Amino acid sequence: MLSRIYPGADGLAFWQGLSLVLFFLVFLGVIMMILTMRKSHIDKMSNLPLDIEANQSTNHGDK
Amino acid sequence: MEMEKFQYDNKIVRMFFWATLVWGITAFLVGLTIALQLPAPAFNFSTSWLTFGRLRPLHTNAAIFAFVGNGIFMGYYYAAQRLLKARNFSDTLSQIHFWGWQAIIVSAAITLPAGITSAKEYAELEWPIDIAIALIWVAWGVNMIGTIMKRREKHLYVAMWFFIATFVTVAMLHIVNSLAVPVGFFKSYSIYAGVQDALVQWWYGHNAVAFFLTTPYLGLMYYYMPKAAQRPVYSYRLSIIHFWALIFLYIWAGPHHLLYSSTPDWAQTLGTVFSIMLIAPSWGGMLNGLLTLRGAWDRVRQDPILKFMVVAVSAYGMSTFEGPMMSLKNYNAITHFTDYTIAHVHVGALGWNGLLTFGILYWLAPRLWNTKLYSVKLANVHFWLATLGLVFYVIPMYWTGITQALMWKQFSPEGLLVYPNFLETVLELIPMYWTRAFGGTLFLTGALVMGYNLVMTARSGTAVDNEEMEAAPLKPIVSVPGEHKHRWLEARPVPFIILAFVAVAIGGLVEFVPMFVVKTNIATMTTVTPYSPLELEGRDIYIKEGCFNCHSQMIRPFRSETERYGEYSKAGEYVYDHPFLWGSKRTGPDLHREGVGKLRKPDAWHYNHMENPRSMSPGSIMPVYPWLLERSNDYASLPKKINAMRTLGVPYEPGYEDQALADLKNQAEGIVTNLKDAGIETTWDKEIIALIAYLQKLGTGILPK
Repeated sequence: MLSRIYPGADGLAFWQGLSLVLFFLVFLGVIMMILTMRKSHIDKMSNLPLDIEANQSTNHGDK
Repeated sequence: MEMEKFQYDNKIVRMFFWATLVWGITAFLVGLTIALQLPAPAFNFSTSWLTFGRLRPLHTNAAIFAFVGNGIFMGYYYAAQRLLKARNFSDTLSQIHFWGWQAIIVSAAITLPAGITSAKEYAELEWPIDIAIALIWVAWGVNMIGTIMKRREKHLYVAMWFFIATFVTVAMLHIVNSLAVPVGFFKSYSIYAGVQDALVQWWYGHNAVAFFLTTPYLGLMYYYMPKAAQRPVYSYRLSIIHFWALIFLYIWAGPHHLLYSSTPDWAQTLGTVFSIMLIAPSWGGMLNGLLTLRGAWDRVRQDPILKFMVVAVSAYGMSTFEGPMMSLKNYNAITHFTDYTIAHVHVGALGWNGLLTFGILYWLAPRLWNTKLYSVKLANVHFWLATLGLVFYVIPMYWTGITQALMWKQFSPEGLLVYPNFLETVLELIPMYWTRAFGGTLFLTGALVMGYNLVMTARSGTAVDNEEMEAAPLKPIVSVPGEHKHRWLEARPVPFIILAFVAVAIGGLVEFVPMFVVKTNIATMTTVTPYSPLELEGRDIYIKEGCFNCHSQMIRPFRSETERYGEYSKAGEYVYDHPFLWGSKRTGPDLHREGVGKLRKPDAWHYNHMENPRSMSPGSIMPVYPWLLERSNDYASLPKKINAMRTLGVPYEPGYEDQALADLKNQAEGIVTNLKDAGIETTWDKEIIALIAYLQKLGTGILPK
């Protein structure tokens, strides 16, 4: 498609193909990485904000 | 296990809490004022510092940097200390951060109505304030990194990644976009010109939305939604993809603000492609937020905090789907320059940022004052006022946007524009502008109700400046063979910051390098000449009055536009434009061919029009500018301006600064004579004379020498 937009631009097809492959490789890499994470670590990180804090009231309601 | 006692600094959270509330109400009030100025120009009060052109940037800056900015810091200072199990690195830096940020906001509130502006959207503040912003931003960053370094929690939670990316990217965007040559304490010229300036500005502008209004708020969402719902985030894995994909893709999408403009096609296509790809991480994050409420949906009915958060995240999903759609060229051809864009940004600003901030304020208040929320009923009232306000705001603006586009583009069977007079397309919108103002009134009323509720909550409780806490110290971090890569990264902030910087820097580099290096991107036009001294001064008045807030200078290559305005705009016509003034909205007509062809008008027409637009265009909603006819321009800085422009590459002859004033006076006297022939008596040094010279210059770059 780019070759049609830029007539005479030699080699663009190679670079657009390479970009596409690189994008897919990077995102494939990220997906592979998260799929191989340990569940214990994921559970720990997911619950991090929910750690009970000292002196913290969680009440709210009409006075 | 040995435990360390320490204290959280709640005082800084409270300070940003009140600042968020006060500046939020201020931003909404200014927004309502300018909303009223469109259907009723009397609300400009015939006063220079209250006109739409000057107040509109005040509204956007107040909403983005004062309301949302303080909201970010409020949410960050509470969440980061708890996620890192450490007090802030430095209380002094926290205080410098707070007072420095408020001083910047006050500076903006003084300078923008005074007409001191760089004309770059969302980056209007002049160079001394820009430097202050950079310094205060770095103070926050040092405080954040210092806190991370002394943390007691080994791994950085996803909210912290978003805060880190915000700090790194906003610093980069702000510094690159603000580079300018000063010609005085209150005036500078962007180092970029025309098309290049447009590309840099919208790289900044788009990513101000991305990294000021989005990433830090996603950080807040990932902390406060689980806290409010008492549920862990739906998918930590999804949050990893969300983070890296979002920060990598967002930075490329800036050129979608420049579709059909004189920007090269390759840049426009790049912006469109990356905008479409952005749907995936944006919706991944949105779903991750909403699904965090799994098993807690029954509580959404009763808990106003969850209601605010659900609508906020839904608004995020709506605006991040609509944004990519508006980046498609066929869709953009309809929405760009219209009120459709205003509707789109307000779904994000009022819905996503506004409602999430309100939810966090309600969640924090009982905790900061160790009490209960004063009134859940009032919070519910606020929720409905805000939601209905949002609806009454955006629906008329969508309606208005589509109406504008259809009327601008409609041809008769004979091939003529059905609405050749732009004013006809404006007058059709007045009822919708009133409805929008009603929506804004509801939203502002809701914020005032919240203010009362929060003040009463604070009065009923006791503030604890230093909250006691204890946690185990952080053991030395060592690499474990076979350790998972992202887990490794989460424990090492420095490599994390470097990687995040690389991810956000790539997009800008790929766009800027060819734009600045490949000469064919901007074809040279031998007919284009630099502005004369009088035209340059007139351009500065155009900038000072904020005319670009309502008038574009970019004729797109559509038949409907070339029929109305003349020849479409070329990249080569803007090479001396420091800064570019293409605008992003047409409340009034495009002005790029104002000085040529059928659009060129006599000097006297402009004089009378600026004194009272309705005398020349009955029904016009433009403000009056009588002060331009009365004020004498101070040309003392003209030599400096000529020198600065020459430094930036404008081909003024060496030594021309000594002759510039004589040339200026000569050209001005010509206009004075023209006005005298029309029965108008004035003098050469009046501001209106310079402005007329600039308006008559517009578009003449396509004429033979």
